Amino acid sequence: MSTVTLDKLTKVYPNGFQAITELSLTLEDGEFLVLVGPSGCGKSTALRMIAGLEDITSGDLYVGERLLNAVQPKDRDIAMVFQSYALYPQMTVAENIGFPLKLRKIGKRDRHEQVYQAAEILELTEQLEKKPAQLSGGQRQRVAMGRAIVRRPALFLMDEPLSNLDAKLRVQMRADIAGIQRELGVTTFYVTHDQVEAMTMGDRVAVIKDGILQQAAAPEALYENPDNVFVAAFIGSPSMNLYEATLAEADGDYLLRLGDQTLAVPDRVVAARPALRDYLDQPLVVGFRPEDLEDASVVPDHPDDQRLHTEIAVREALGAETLVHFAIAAPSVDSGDPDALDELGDEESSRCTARFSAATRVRVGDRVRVNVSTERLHFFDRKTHLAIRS
Amino acid sequence: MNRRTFWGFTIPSVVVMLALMVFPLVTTVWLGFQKLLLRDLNNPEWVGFDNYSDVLTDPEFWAAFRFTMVFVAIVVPVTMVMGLGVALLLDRVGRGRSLYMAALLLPFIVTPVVGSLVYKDLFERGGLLSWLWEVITDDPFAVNAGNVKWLIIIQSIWYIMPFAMITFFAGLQTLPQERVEAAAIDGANFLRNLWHVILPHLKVLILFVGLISIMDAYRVYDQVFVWTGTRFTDAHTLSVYNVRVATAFDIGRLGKGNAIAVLNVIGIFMVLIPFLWRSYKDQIAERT
Amino acid sequence: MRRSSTLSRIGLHATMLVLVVWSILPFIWTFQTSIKFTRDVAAKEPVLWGYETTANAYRAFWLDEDDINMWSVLVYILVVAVVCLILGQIGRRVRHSWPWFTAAVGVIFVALWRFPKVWEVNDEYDFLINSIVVTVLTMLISLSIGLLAGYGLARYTGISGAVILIVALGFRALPRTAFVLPYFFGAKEIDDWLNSSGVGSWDFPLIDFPGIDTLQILDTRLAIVLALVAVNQPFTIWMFRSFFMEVPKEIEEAAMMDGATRLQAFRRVIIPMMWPAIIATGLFTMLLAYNEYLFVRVLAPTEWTLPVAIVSLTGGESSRTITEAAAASVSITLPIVVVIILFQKHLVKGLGAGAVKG
Repeated sequence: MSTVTLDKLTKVYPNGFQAITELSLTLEDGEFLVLVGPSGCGKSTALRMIAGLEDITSGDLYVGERLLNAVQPKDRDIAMVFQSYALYPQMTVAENIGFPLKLRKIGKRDRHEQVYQAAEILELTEQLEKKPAQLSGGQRQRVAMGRAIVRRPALFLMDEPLSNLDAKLRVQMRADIAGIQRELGVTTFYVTHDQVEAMTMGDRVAVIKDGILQQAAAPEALYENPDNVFVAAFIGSPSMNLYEATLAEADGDYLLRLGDQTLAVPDRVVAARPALRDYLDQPLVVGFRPEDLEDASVVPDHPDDQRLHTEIAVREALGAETLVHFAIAAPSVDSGDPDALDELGDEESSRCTARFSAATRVRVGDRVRVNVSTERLHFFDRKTHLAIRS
Repeated sequence: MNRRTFWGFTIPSVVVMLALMVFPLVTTVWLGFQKLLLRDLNNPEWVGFDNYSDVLTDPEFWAAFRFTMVFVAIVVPVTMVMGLGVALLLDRVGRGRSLYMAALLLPFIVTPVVGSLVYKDLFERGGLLSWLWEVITDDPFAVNAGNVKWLIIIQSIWYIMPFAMITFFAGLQTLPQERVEAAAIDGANFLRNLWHVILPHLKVLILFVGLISIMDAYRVYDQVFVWTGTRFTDAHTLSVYNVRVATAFDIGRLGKGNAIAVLNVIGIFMVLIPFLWRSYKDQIAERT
Repeated sequence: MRRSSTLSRIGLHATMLVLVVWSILPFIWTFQTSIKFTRDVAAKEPVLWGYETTANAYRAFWLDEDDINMWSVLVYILVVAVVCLILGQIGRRVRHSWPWFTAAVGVIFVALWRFPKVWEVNDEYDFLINSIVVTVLTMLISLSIGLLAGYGLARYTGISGAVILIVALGFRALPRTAFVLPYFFGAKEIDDWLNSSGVGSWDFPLIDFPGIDTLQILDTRLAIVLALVAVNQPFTIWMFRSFFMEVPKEIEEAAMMDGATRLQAFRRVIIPMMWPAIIATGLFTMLLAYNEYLFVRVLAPTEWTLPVAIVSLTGGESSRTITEAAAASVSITLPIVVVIILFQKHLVKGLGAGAVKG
């Protein structure tokens, strides 16, 4: 019914800046798709093109069978929630929510009823007569939602709707919005820079960088099988550790040289990725997530040749787990995320983050052995940054 | 907003400005080259730069020019310094501030010709201040060609000062309190505070008030006309001289009047062009 | 703020009082003159207090009858003012204030229209009406086209917007004399054409203005209004633009997503947010129109507004006495005093806003 199709959408600004390049995506009816990317990657531009607030330079936009390129925003049957909420300050909450209905010339009685229904869903019935200035941040956010859901549009657009809320409220609203969307079953296109939001809310997550779509997949798939270095680094927190390394074969065993250390890579790991054999003895990019590292003293029964030896530099006890940082004598890899913190380290050594279980007793300065789950290593081409899989 | 929508919104205003500002300005330039008398408007005659040489050799023009320059040179700095001083005082007043403000604003808000009339009444025969003068100096006081220029200047300061005051006052309201407190902690006395905290904060406003005051002082008409009428033509400013030449009963010379107007426009633009250029640059920078 | 000592507080208030006296002394003096008898005014030594008061001057200036009880006139004006104030207050408390505002305007209109039917008035009453008509029309036209243009200029990012703004800024600086002469000449030319072609004496069946037989530009209120609207445009568009810049563009985008056209978004969402700006800009426009002298004198040789009337009627050759001149000055100033008292906050805010963006 309301499948949304973006076919090679491209946006070039008058000053020549290409914000979006051939973005193609299909949203199934009722799907919650999250477009995520670092700041300035063009994700808001994509959203505004769908809304009709920006002209489409080239490419086609369909909702259902209808081509929307030249349709006015008001006639697109699309509702939008803005980052700043954009509530009308002189109207009460009820008038704000009812405004789309009023513009559609829906009678007073029907309007009241529908506004009340929307307010009930959003738990705003107590606030209906207040002005936006009298509301808390979370309530304002709900009013903005109310204005969108009251008219049952074909598509919801949400532009970082939670970024102005404090952390606690954000977690709660995350669940609420996802719940409301499921309840209403309206196709939703959600934009955020926060990968946690993307992973927790989306049926599918599309990662975008510099106006180019990197990968679109279900959250788990994105996490397990990132297509390239950028996606690998961007999804997951703390980020995946990524280094330049070399895979060598000696006496039928595979060894990964990571700086001055070596890790044995089981045969089946290479067998699952036949293409890896082409990279033997050549530099490639290896990645492992912090949760795939563990303190050897907590899990002693781990093959000793699949361990790193290092000295703890920083320790952050989070209660349920402990994050530790240490140096690895291998060059790190720039994932291309402009929001990423500058890596501590230089050509010779890079920072590595590990997520140990809370049972660990390591302290700063301790020399430790770290188990590496080699089954879960990720390999990428050093030049193209694409995953080496097949 | 796209170009078509923009013009849709802007066109009424642009048409008004084209028809009633750009076109008249062109007419002014054209009329400046004509010999044209008020009593015979139907027979303009092209005389080239005759009007201009006529104006530039007219001693009355130079007298008006000189007085206008003196007027600007005194009124603008005095109103600005006074305005800043009063604004600082007003900023310290807690209770009764709005009452003081209303009273201080009155000269600026009131009809300028009426303001001039009531001010003049103080100095006329039987007026409060002329009587005081007589009591103090034992000499009768009368408005004459000698003192009328000073009276005009004093009354203009009285009239314009509230504008500077209220603008600076509005600016002081936006002064971040932390900056004042930081200066106080650093042990700044009032003068240091003024120099290092307040004046830098008001920099843009000072430029703004200065420019507006220069423009308004340069084209002053109402006060001067009320004080001088046809009596003290020595104390005429450029605008009054201009209107007098153009519209004087029976001998009005519209052509010459327009030539004066063109010279006046050129005069103010010499001051303004750097500022306009800077504003244009700002505008362009805002757009990219 | 630091707590200041009592002494410095007294000093501060004393200084302020001196400044206040410097500001309003002329008005006090003139007000005293207007309520004195001629003999007290003519006295060698000014009579500062203890004099007998009279409303003779006001009666003589405005009214054509000698035996009117001025108290009844005062009561008339007071009743009108109180009714308008009550309507305005109701309007502020009730959500939809437009009907109440309209009602207040209606009351003023009826009061002005009935006044000369109750008392015989002098010609000066026509000048008052002219002043009101010119001021109201200038405000209406100037503000409506200024609002539209200010919005366009705030939202459009093309170069032509910058050019319009800068040209307007330049116009703001020009002396009035650069405009008044071509206005006069142009109006004269148009009138000559209207006369010679006969268009001016056409009989328009539907438009029958009482007292107007021929169509002309010069010496009409229309001429004054057009001139004032034009010279006020630069100020209006800059002022409105700076206020519109403060309205986030997401607000109208939200309205457009909600199903509004650009114009609907402007009218139903943006304009209601702009009332403080409209009031501030409107106040300055009002002062400009109400106070204008030069344009009226040159463009309207007989259709005077109050400032021209007062200057002309109190000049040397006039038969009006000093007390009548003073009464006239007080009468023209009074509405302005009321305006500052009512709208002081908006006025200050407007000056601040215009200035900061300058």
